[in-house]
Amino acid sequence: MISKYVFVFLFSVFIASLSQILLKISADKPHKSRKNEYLNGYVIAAYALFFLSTILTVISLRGISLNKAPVLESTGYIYVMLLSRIILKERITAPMIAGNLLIIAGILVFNYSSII
Amino acid sequence: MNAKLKNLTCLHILFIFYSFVAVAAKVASGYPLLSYEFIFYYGIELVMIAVYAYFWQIIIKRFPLGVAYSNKGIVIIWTLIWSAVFFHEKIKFCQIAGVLIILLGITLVAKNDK
Repeated sequence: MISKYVFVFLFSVFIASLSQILLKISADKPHKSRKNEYLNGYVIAAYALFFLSTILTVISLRGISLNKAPVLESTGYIYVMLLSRIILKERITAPMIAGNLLIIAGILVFNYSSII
Repeated sequence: MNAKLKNLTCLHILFIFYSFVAVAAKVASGYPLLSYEFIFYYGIELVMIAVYAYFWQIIIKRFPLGVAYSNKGIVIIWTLIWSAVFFHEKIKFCQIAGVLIILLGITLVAKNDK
């Protein structure tokens, strides 16, 4: 049976991925000043999501050992790749997909003894 | 050092810093919620995240988000090292094998960034 802490961690990762998209949207926009680069709607929303993600991560680590966390966090590569394609219209190439799949495969191998 | 290598170096130095966030979170998780110790270590975690976020917003201007984020796989390797150093968790053969595959994947994504 999958622990509830796993689902909490996965949701935490999705929220963190969404916040990355917001930060990138802000980073790609021109800003009047360095202050405006960090104090605009996108960044404030991104930080709010980060804050929520950290709370959820700490809560989930009550039931997950630290060396298992990267397995679950690897879902972030999928979230970010898809969200960056859908929202940011970034080009996804075959080597990029292969590279991300290798990263995820590496994470699965990394945590093989935890998964089985 | 060419611009791409310089940017990648900066990105990875930032990721080493970021890998310590998980250490703070793990220490915080060992204390009761809202206890003084929890607040202290959670506070350290938040400060580290704030510093990371400040520099992350600077560094992602230089990369497509997908490329920058894929390089973040290196944090797993640093977390493995810190888990052994600070929490005495054992490093297994499968983790070493996984690290090599992750590095291959990161290299593939990084080389693909034109």
